[in-house]
Amino acid sequence: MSAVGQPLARVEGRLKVTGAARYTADLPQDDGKDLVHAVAVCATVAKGRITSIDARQARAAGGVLELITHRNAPRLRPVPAQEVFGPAHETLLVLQDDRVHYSGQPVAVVVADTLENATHAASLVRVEYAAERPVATLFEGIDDAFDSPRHAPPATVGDADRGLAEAAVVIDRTYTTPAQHHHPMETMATTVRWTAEEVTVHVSTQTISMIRDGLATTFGLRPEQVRVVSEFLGGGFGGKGAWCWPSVVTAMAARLTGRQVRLVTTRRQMFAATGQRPHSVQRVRLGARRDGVLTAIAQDCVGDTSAFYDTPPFFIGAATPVPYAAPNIRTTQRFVRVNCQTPVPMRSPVEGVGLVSIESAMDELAAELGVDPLELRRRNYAERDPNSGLPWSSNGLLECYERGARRFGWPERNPKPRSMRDGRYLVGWGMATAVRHAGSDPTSALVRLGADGRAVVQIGSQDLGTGTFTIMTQVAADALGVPVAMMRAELGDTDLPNGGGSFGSHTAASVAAAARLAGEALRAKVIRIAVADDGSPLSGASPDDVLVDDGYLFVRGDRSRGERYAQILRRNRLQAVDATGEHTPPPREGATVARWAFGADFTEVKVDPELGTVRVTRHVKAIEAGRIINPRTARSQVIGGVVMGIGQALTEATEVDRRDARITNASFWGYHVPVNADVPDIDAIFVERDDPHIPGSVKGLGEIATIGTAPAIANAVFHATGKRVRDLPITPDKLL
Amino acid sequence: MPDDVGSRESAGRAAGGPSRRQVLGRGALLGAATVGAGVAAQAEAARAATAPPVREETLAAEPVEISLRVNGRERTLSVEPRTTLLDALRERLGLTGTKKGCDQGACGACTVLVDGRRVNSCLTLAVMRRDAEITTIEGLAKGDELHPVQRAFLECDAFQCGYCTSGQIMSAAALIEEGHAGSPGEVREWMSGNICRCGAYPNIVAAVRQAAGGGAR
Repeated sequence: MSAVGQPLARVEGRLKVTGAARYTADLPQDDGKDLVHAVAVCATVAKGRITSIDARQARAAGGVLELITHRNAPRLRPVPAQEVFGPAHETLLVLQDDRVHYSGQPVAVVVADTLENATHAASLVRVEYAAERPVATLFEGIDDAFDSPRHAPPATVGDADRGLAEAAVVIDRTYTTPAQHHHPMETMATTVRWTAEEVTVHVSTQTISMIRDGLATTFGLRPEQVRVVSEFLGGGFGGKGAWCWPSVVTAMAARLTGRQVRLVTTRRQMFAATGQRPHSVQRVRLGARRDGVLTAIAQDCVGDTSAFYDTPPFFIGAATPVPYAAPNIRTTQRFVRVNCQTPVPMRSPVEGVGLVSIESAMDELAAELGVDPLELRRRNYAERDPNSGLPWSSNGLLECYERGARRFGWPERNPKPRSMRDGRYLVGWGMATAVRHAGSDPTSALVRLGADGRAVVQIGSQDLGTGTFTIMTQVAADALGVPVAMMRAELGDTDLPNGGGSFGSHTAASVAAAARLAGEALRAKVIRIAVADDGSPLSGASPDDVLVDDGYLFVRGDRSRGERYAQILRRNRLQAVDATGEHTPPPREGATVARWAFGADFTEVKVDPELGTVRVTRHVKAIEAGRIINPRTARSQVIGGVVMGIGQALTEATEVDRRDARITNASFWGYHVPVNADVPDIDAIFVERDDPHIPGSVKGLGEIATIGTAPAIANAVFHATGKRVRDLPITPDKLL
Repeated sequence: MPDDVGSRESAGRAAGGPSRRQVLGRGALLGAATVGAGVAAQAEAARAATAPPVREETLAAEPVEISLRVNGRERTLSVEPRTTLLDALRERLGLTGTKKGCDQGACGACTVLVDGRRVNSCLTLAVMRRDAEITTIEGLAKGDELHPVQRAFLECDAFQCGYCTSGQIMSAAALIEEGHAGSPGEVREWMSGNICRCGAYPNIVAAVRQAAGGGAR
């Protein structure tokens, strides 16, 4: 029986429920006897120069081994984005000069024998600044917004201005979305041991190869001198995908002390450690005929980027893909330099932010025309990709609409706002469309089969917690033709075959494609050995006629003529046989099809009219992401994505003091992520499709799981209250 | 959050340990002794500094030898007065199953049982828990036989990354004992001190209900 498609329980699950899974901060290298602790001292101003650092008290404190500032830090070489694989984005020069560019920037690092001593000594470092007036938010700098055509080229189809002029109805609205932080439960942790032979790095990262290449570049080493390990990751959501300072300063500390050094950023420091989702202002204009058919979509966005990086990162603010058939489209993106960290992806840097405005505006258009919001979207269904004009590789959006609406009970919706009640609560139903580009990365895999019949699949990828260990096991087991119990997965080590980053919804597609190729190559290799082996019942058979089932190889049509993998290896005195697989994604340049995943969110909210509080009371999400490898882990991923969307819609915003550009809610007390009581039952529906243009038909779920949820909730709040909040998150004050 | 920090602390006092004010009062008299014990502890220290000095036994800033009963075993260790129970478990005793998510008592990742009550181990000092009965995730299973809550978390896929899972399971085990798993709504409220950023909440509710014998829904 095929393992792919089965709801296999997480293969690492037992380690996680017993506390035995080792995350970066749990893991001393070797015996850990020489482990020491580093703590960063972070800037208390957002812009200016360091005028003095008084470290006398800190150096004299108990247990202190080293104190690093820009005066004594090792000199670093720049790491341009193109030199490392993955979304490295900054020419990240840490502790290299006296300049401060954002509040929370590291200005010193203390290394001591215990965590307590390092924390205490860090509190004794006195830093004086010549502070300058920062640009605190994009609103302060919006007059200086600039284009960055190299990184965010505008998307243009037809003539949007003409399409708007020809429209019977035009919706022209401006929406804002806040800066957000990812807040994986595991903060950013790094442990580095630096010896003459090798630099060994344990780190919480979504891209071990990027950390390897980045550290090698910045410290002037060869990549093969750096080994990066990240077996268990406590979440990431984009926040552990980018090149960031904690890993760099930990490596500095290890090099200077000769000790094994660990640095675990505090929760507070996580507000300026690994980047954030950018703050944005999005003006949308929709032009439509009276029947709702769109004549034009224009979206003009402004987002923030950091003050110190000369070019906005390529993955932020790329033109929002338009999911509707409009003959005229224009989407643009401009940037404002702000004294914050450089933005990084957060559960779709593009659609997760940009579709908030388009999906809200579609709801406003539906209300204006008196057309049902779902019907409006159906009328504008795109038969081809509206942006590229290419045919879809596959597209299950209409079925997502249909099945999601049916499960939710959408036809029962009274279109009039404030028309539905549950006691004193106002009830609202809203929906939105989700789309996300389906891609993959170059990935290598190795599958090795031992003489005991057990096999291992290895890929230098990472498991964010989404189930990569498990799906690798399933795909490789099927490809080789053994039960999943006989297959083990290894990942999270740069000594393994090179895997890509765990971001961009690419991991499942990349890992599955490589594992399948390696497993199939190994199966073919063993079959070749068997048919050439006089001692085998398969001797002389055509390799094409040999089938494998449950680890048993036999000749097509004659199941009695066969033997097990283990017998072949033992008779040929082979300890193990292995084979590799290389997945190369189809190039985006010159593509003949458009590869996308699709979804539809349907949500119910109940609003307290006196308090303005919003509760999501049920949510249905239908997703077409090709074929689902594991419906159990996939369902959990979708539920989790919706939960993050609830936070985006209702509670999450990184608040900045406009006077001094410091974050005012830098804790879980101030930055509210959803808790259990905020979350209702969530229904995930998978609309499955074969996609001949994508290996294994795997489109990826990580981001489509979240995209669409926030605008659906915003639309439901309008339906409940009659009030349109165009500034996320929808906190009670905005409804009173 | 029904099971807030205050009620957890009072639970700790009821268990017979010294109060946080007593310990931190001593720490505050010693100047820097509380630095490094977490933000909330520092705030507490600031309050304690204005209180009358405590004239009881004096704790030095240097390490003291204490014994903790962890998972049924007597463990003797040397900790500074400012060392949290969480750091003592992780850094001194090697029990890394208990996680640090915020070090501010806001996320629940560090939840352990102290004399059967759930406690945020980042908000309590190790020296306050001398001779208390401490249970961590490592002590929940009986040998190879998983605790019913652990089994239910596996069966209901009540986690993704697993980082908050130890704390979720310890909270769940305690709230079932407390009789707070009577309905999905009750479980949601009583489990809201444990943040799961992967968003496994619906599956966590199902797992707690299953372990409590109340069915998945």
